[in-house]
Amino acid sequence: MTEAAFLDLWHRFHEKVVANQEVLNQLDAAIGDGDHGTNMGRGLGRVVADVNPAGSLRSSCRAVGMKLLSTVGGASGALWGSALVSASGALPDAPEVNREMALAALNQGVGQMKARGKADVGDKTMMDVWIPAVNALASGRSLREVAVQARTWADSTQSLEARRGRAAYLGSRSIGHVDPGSLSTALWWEALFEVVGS
Amino acid sequence: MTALLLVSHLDRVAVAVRDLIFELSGQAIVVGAVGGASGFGADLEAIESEIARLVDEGAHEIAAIGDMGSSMVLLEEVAVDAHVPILVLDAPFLEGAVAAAMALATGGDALETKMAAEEAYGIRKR
Repeated sequence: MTEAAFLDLWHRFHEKVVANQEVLNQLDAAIGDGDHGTNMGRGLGRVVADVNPAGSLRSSCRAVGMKLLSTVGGASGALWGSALVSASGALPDAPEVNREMALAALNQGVGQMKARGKADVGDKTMMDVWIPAVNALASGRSLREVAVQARTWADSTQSLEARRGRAAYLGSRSIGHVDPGSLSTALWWEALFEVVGS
Repeated sequence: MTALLLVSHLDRVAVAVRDLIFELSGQAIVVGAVGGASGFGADLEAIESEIARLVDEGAHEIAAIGDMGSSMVLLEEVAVDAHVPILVLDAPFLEGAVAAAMALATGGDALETKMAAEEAYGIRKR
Protein backbone atom coordinates (compact mmCIF):
# COMPACT_ATOMS: atom_id res chain seq x y z
CA MET A 1 0.00 0.00 0.00
CA THR A 2 1.30 3.44 -0.91
CA GLU A 3 0.90 6.56 1.17
CA ALA A 4 -1.30 8.00 -1.58
CA ALA A 5 -3.61 4.96 -1.29
CA PHE A 6 -3.60 5.30 2.50
CA LEU A 7 -4.74 8.92 2.28
CA ASP A 8 -7.29 7.99 -0.41
CA LEU A 9 -8.68 5.43 2.07
CA TRP A 10 -9.55 8.25 4.50
CA HIS A 11 -11.03 10.30 1.66
CA ARG A 12 -13.33 7.46 0.70
CA PHE A 13 -14.15 6.61 4.31
CA HIS A 14 -15.11 10.25 4.86
CA GLU A 15 -17.36 10.19 1.77
CA LYS A 16 -19.07 7.02 2.97
CA VAL A 17 -19.62 8.35 6.48
CA VAL A 18 -21.08 11.58 5.09
CA ALA A 19 -23.31 9.62 2.68
CA ASN A 20 -24.51 7.50 5.63
CA GLN A 21 -24.53 10.33 8.19
CA GLU A 22 -28.28 10.25 8.78
CA VAL A 23 -28.37 6.47 9.13
CA LEU A 24 -25.50 6.58 11.61
CA ASN A 25 -27.14 9.41 13.56
CA GLN A 26 -30.46 7.58 13.67
CA LEU A 27 -28.85 4.37 14.92
CA ASP A 28 -27.05 6.43 17.58
CA ALA A 29 -30.27 8.24 18.49
CA ALA A 30 -31.92 4.89 19.23
CA ILE A 31 -29.43 4.35 22.06
CA GLY A 32 -28.24 7.86 22.88
CA ASP A 33 -27.64 11.37 21.62
CA GLY A 34 -27.67 10.69 17.90
CA ASP A 35 -24.42 12.29 16.81
CA HIS A 36 -22.17 9.40 15.73
CA GLY A 37 -22.49 10.21 12.02
CA THR A 38 -22.02 13.94 12.58
CA ASN A 39 -19.03 13.44 14.90
CA MET A 40 -17.26 10.97 12.64
CA GLY A 41 -18.04 13.07 9.59
CA ARG A 42 -16.59 16.19 11.21
CA GLY A 43 -13.41 14.44 12.40
CA LEU A 44 -12.83 12.73 9.05
CA GLY A 45 -13.49 16.01 7.28
CA ARG A 46 -10.62 17.52 9.27
CA VAL A 47 -8.42 14.54 8.37
CA VAL A 48 -9.17 15.03 4.67
CA ALA A 49 -8.58 18.78 4.87
CA ASP A 50 -5.48 18.82 7.08
CA VAL A 51 -3.45 15.63 6.66
CA ASN A 52 -1.01 15.91 3.77
CA PRO A 53 1.45 13.37 2.35
CA ALA A 54 4.62 13.26 4.46
CA GLY A 55 6.60 10.73 2.45
CA SER A 56 6.16 8.41 5.42
CA LEU A 57 3.26 6.09 6.19
CA ARG A 58 4.29 6.13 9.83
CA SER A 59 3.95 9.93 9.93
CA SER A 60 0.73 10.16 7.98
CA CYS A 61 -0.96 7.35 9.97
CA ARG A 62 0.04 9.08 13.20
CA ALA A 63 -1.26 12.41 11.86
CA VAL A 64 -4.64 10.85 11.01
CA GLY A 65 -4.79 9.35 14.50
CA MET A 66 -3.92 12.60 16.27
CA LYS A 67 -6.49 14.47 14.20
CA LEU A 68 -9.25 12.01 15.17
CA LEU A 69 -8.16 12.05 18.83
CA SER A 70 -8.54 15.80 18.97
CA THR A 71 -11.60 16.39 16.78
CA VAL A 72 -14.21 13.64 17.13
CA GLY A 73 -15.11 14.14 20.81
CA GLY A 74 -16.90 10.83 21.40
CA ALA A 75 -15.40 7.58 22.63
CA SER A 76 -15.30 6.11 19.14
CA GLY A 77 -13.10 8.96 17.88
CA ALA A 78 -10.75 8.60 20.82
CA LEU A 79 -10.52 4.86 20.15
CA TRP A 80 -9.96 5.31 16.40
CA GLY A 81 -7.27 7.87 17.19
CA SER A 82 -5.59 5.74 19.81
CA ALA A 83 -5.57 2.73 17.45
CA LEU A 84 -4.04 4.70 14.57
CA VAL A 85 -1.34 6.30 16.71
CA SER A 86 -0.45 2.84 17.97
CA ALA A 87 -0.59 1.25 14.50
CA SER A 88 1.68 3.95 13.09
CA GLY A 89 4.53 2.54 15.17
CA ALA A 90 4.34 -0.71 13.17
CA LEU A 91 4.42 1.11 9.81
CA PRO A 92 7.64 1.96 7.97
CA ASP A 93 9.04 5.49 7.84
CA ALA A 94 8.62 5.22 4.06
CA PRO A 95 5.92 5.98 1.46
CA GLU A 96 5.03 2.32 0.85
CA VAL A 97 4.27 -0.75 2.96
CA ASN A 98 4.01 -4.42 1.99
CA ARG A 99 0.99 -6.54 2.84
CA GLU A 100 2.68 -8.34 5.71
CA MET A 101 3.67 -5.14 7.52
CA ALA A 102 0.30 -3.54 6.81
CA LEU A 103 -1.43 -6.52 8.44
CA ALA A 104 0.90 -6.28 11.42
CA ALA A 105 0.02 -2.59 11.81
CA LEU A 106 -3.68 -3.39 11.52
CA ASN A 107 -3.37 -6.03 14.25
CA GLN A 108 -1.46 -3.59 16.42
CA GLY A 109 -4.20 -0.97 16.02
CA VAL A 110 -7.06 -3.38 16.70
CA GLY A 111 -5.22 -4.74 19.75
CA GLN A 112 -4.82 -1.20 21.06
CA MET A 113 -8.50 -0.41 20.46
CA LYS A 114 -9.52 -3.57 22.29
CA ALA A 115 -7.27 -2.72 25.25
CA ARG A 116 -8.29 0.96 25.45
CA GLY A 117 -12.00 0.30 24.97
CA LYS A 118 -11.97 -2.76 27.26
CA ALA A 119 -14.40 -4.35 24.78
CA ASP A 120 -14.43 -7.70 23.00
CA VAL A 121 -16.60 -9.60 20.54
CA GLY A 122 -20.20 -9.77 21.76
CA ASP A 123 -20.19 -6.46 23.67
CA LYS A 124 -22.14 -4.67 20.88
CA THR A 125 -19.37 -2.30 19.85
CA MET A 126 -17.19 -1.77 16.80
CA MET A 127 -15.02 -4.65 18.07
CA ASP A 128 -17.78 -6.94 16.73
CA VAL A 129 -16.50 -5.97 13.28
CA TRP A 130 -12.79 -5.31 13.90
CA ILE A 131 -11.94 -8.59 15.58
CA PRO A 132 -13.60 -11.03 13.14
CA ALA A 133 -12.22 -8.96 10.27
CA VAL A 134 -8.57 -9.18 11.31
CA ASN A 135 -9.05 -12.84 12.24
CA ALA A 136 -10.50 -13.58 8.79
CA LEU A 137 -7.57 -11.85 7.07
CA ALA A 138 -5.10 -13.72 9.25
CA SER A 139 -6.68 -17.02 8.25
CA GLY A 140 -6.20 -16.21 4.56
CA ARG A 141 -9.60 -14.80 3.56
CA SER A 142 -9.54 -12.12 0.87
CA LEU A 143 -10.14 -8.45 1.57
CA ARG A 144 -13.17 -8.66 -0.73
CA GLU A 145 -14.74 -11.34 1.48
CA VAL A 146 -13.97 -9.36 4.62
CA ALA A 147 -15.42 -6.14 3.17
CA VAL A 148 -18.67 -7.95 2.30
CA GLN A 149 -18.81 -9.77 5.62
CA ALA A 150 -18.20 -6.57 7.58
CA ARG A 151 -21.78 -5.41 6.94
CA THR A 152 -23.09 -8.75 8.16
CA TRP A 153 -21.01 -8.55 11.32
CA ALA A 154 -22.28 -5.01 11.92
CA ASP A 155 -25.91 -6.10 11.33
CA SER A 156 -25.48 -8.97 13.78
CA THR A 157 -24.93 -6.48 16.62
CA GLN A 158 -28.68 -5.83 16.43
CA SER A 159 -29.53 -8.86 18.56
CA LEU A 160 -26.84 -8.18 21.15
CA GLU A 161 -27.20 -6.50 24.52
CA ALA A 162 -24.62 -3.72 24.95
CA ARG A 163 -22.00 -4.38 27.61
CA ARG A 164 -19.60 -1.51 26.85
CA GLY A 165 -20.01 2.14 25.96
CA ARG A 166 -22.91 4.45 26.71
CA ALA A 167 -25.48 1.94 25.41
CA ALA A 168 -24.51 -0.46 28.23
CA TYR A 169 -26.54 1.77 30.57
CA LEU A 170 -29.64 0.69 28.61
CA GLY A 171 -29.15 -3.00 29.40
CA SER A 172 -31.65 -5.19 27.55
CA ARG A 173 -33.27 -2.11 26.00
CA SER A 174 -30.23 -1.86 23.72
CA ILE A 175 -31.33 -5.09 21.98
CA GLY A 176 -32.92 -4.55 18.57
CA HIS A 177 -30.65 -1.74 17.34
CA VAL A 178 -27.50 -2.04 15.23
CA ASP A 179 -24.48 -0.50 16.96
CA PRO A 180 -23.56 2.65 14.98
CA GLY A 181 -19.82 2.19 15.61
CA SER A 182 -19.92 -1.26 14.07
CA LEU A 183 -21.61 0.16 10.95
CA SER A 184 -19.05 2.95 10.50
CA THR A 185 -16.32 0.35 10.92
CA ALA A 186 -17.91 -1.74 8.15
CA LEU A 187 -17.82 1.38 5.94
CA TRP A 188 -14.07 1.65 6.62
CA TRP A 189 -13.54 -1.94 5.43
CA GLU A 190 -15.53 -1.20 2.28
CA ALA A 191 -13.37 1.88 1.66
CA LEU A 192 -10.21 -0.16 2.21
CA PHE A 193 -11.33 -2.77 -0.32
CA GLU A 194 -12.10 -0.05 -2.88
CA VAL A 195 -8.62 1.42 -2.46
CA VAL A 196 -6.52 -1.72 -2.22
CA GLY A 197 -8.60 -4.27 -4.16
CA SER A 198 -8.41 -7.89 -3.07
CA MET B 1 3.05 16.81 45.39
CA THR B 2 0.32 14.56 44.00
CA ALA B 3 -2.48 16.36 42.17
CA LEU B 4 -5.95 15.19 41.26
CA LEU B 5 -7.35 15.77 37.79
CA LEU B 6 -11.09 15.62 37.05
CA VAL B 7 -12.11 15.24 33.40
CA SER B 8 -15.75 15.47 32.39
CA HIS B 9 -17.56 15.90 29.07
CA LEU B 10 -18.87 19.17 30.51
CA ASP B 11 -16.51 21.69 32.15
CA ARG B 12 -19.19 22.80 34.62
CA VAL B 13 -19.47 19.24 35.96
CA ALA B 14 -15.73 18.96 36.57
CA VAL B 15 -15.57 22.41 38.19
CA ALA B 16 -18.62 21.73 40.35
CA VAL B 17 -17.22 18.42 41.58
CA ARG B 18 -13.99 20.23 42.45
CA ASP B 19 -15.98 22.86 44.40
CA LEU B 20 -17.76 20.07 46.26
CA ILE B 21 -14.64 18.16 47.25
CA PHE B 22 -12.90 21.37 48.39
CA GLU B 23 -15.78 21.75 50.85
CA LEU B 24 -15.21 18.23 52.16
CA SER B 25 -11.42 17.97 52.17
CA GLY B 26 -10.29 21.59 52.44
CA GLN B 27 -8.48 23.50 49.75
CA ALA B 28 -4.95 22.37 50.62
CA ILE B 29 -4.99 19.83 47.77
CA VAL B 30 -4.32 20.65 44.11
CA VAL B 31 -7.16 19.70 41.79
CA GLY B 32 -7.45 20.25 38.06
CA ALA B 33 -10.90 20.35 36.45
CA VAL B 34 -11.48 20.24 32.71
CA GLY B 35 -14.12 19.36 30.16
CA GLY B 36 -15.60 20.16 26.80
CA ALA B 37 -13.59 23.31 26.04
CA SER B 38 -15.45 23.75 22.75
CA GLY B 39 -18.82 22.73 24.12
CA PHE B 40 -19.70 19.15 25.01
CA GLY B 41 -17.18 16.30 24.87
CA ALA B 42 -13.80 15.29 26.15
CA ASP B 43 -11.11 17.56 24.74
CA LEU B 44 -7.54 16.37 24.21
CA GLU B 45 -5.89 19.79 24.09
CA ALA B 46 -7.79 21.02 27.14
CA ILE B 47 -6.69 17.95 29.10
CA GLU B 48 -3.07 18.46 28.06
CA SER B 49 -3.06 22.13 29.04
CA GLU B 50 -4.67 21.40 32.43
CA ILE B 51 -1.97 18.77 33.08
CA ALA B 52 0.69 21.37 32.18
CA ARG B 53 -0.92 23.79 34.64
CA LEU B 54 -0.86 21.17 37.43
CA VAL B 55 2.81 20.45 36.71
CA ASP B 56 3.52 24.20 36.85
CA GLU B 57 1.86 24.23 40.27
CA GLY B 58 4.32 21.59 41.41
CA ALA B 59 2.62 18.26 40.72
CA HIS B 60 5.14 15.45 40.24
CA GLU B 61 2.42 12.85 39.76
CA ILE B 62 -1.28 13.04 38.91
CA ALA B 63 -4.22 10.83 39.80
CA ALA B 64 -6.94 11.34 37.17
CA ILE B 65 -10.63 10.46 37.03
CA GLY B 66 -12.76 10.67 33.87
CA ASP B 67 -16.54 10.69 33.86
CA MET B 68 -17.03 8.09 31.10
CA GLY B 69 -16.06 6.88 27.63
CA SER B 70 -13.77 9.22 25.75
CA SER B 71 -12.55 11.10 28.83
CA MET B 72 -11.09 7.80 30.09
CA VAL B 73 -9.68 6.86 26.69
CA LEU B 74 -8.07 10.28 26.21
CA LEU B 75 -6.61 10.27 29.74
CA GLU B 76 -5.03 6.88 29.10
CA GLU B 77 -3.69 8.14 25.78
CA VAL B 78 -2.22 11.32 27.30
CA ALA B 79 -0.68 9.27 30.14
CA VAL B 80 1.52 7.41 27.65
CA ASP B 81 3.61 10.44 26.67
CA ALA B 82 3.16 12.70 29.71
CA HIS B 83 6.17 14.27 31.48
CA VAL B 84 4.88 13.19 34.89
CA PRO B 85 3.29 9.85 35.85
CA ILE B 86 -0.48 9.95 35.37
CA LEU B 87 -2.47 7.27 37.12
CA VAL B 88 -5.91 6.88 35.52
CA LEU B 89 -8.41 5.74 38.13
CA ASP B 90 -11.34 3.44 37.48
CA ALA B 91 -13.67 5.15 39.91
CA PRO B 92 -17.12 6.75 40.05
CA PHE B 93 -16.73 10.43 39.16
CA LEU B 94 -18.26 12.12 42.17
CA GLU B 95 -17.78 9.57 44.94
CA GLY B 96 -14.37 8.61 43.59
CA ALA B 97 -13.30 12.25 43.55
CA VAL B 98 -14.42 12.65 47.17
CA ALA B 99 -12.47 9.54 48.22
CA ALA B 100 -9.43 10.69 46.23
CA ALA B 101 -9.55 14.13 47.83
CA MET B 102 -9.72 12.63 51.32
CA ALA B 103 -6.72 10.43 50.54
CA LEU B 104 -4.72 13.37 49.18
CA ALA B 105 -5.70 15.68 52.03
CA THR B 106 -4.32 13.16 54.50
CA GLY B 107 -0.99 12.87 52.69
CA GLY B 108 -1.71 9.99 50.33
CA ASP B 109 0.30 9.46 47.15
CA ALA B 110 -1.15 8.59 43.75
CA LEU B 111 -1.34 4.87 44.50
CA GLU B 112 -3.15 5.39 47.82
CA THR B 113 -5.45 7.86 46.08
CA LYS B 114 -6.19 5.27 43.40
CA MET B 115 -7.05 2.62 45.98
CA ALA B 116 -9.31 4.97 47.92
CA ALA B 117 -11.12 6.21 44.80
CA GLU B 118 -11.64 2.76 43.34
CA GLU B 119 -12.98 1.45 46.64
CA ALA B 120 -15.72 4.07 46.34
CA TYR B 121 -17.58 1.66 44.04
CA GLY B 122 -18.12 -0.59 47.04
CA ILE B 123 -19.43 1.97 49.49
CA ARG B 124 -23.24 1.90 49.67
CA LYS B 125 -25.35 4.87 50.67
CA ARG B 126 -27.98 2.72 52.34
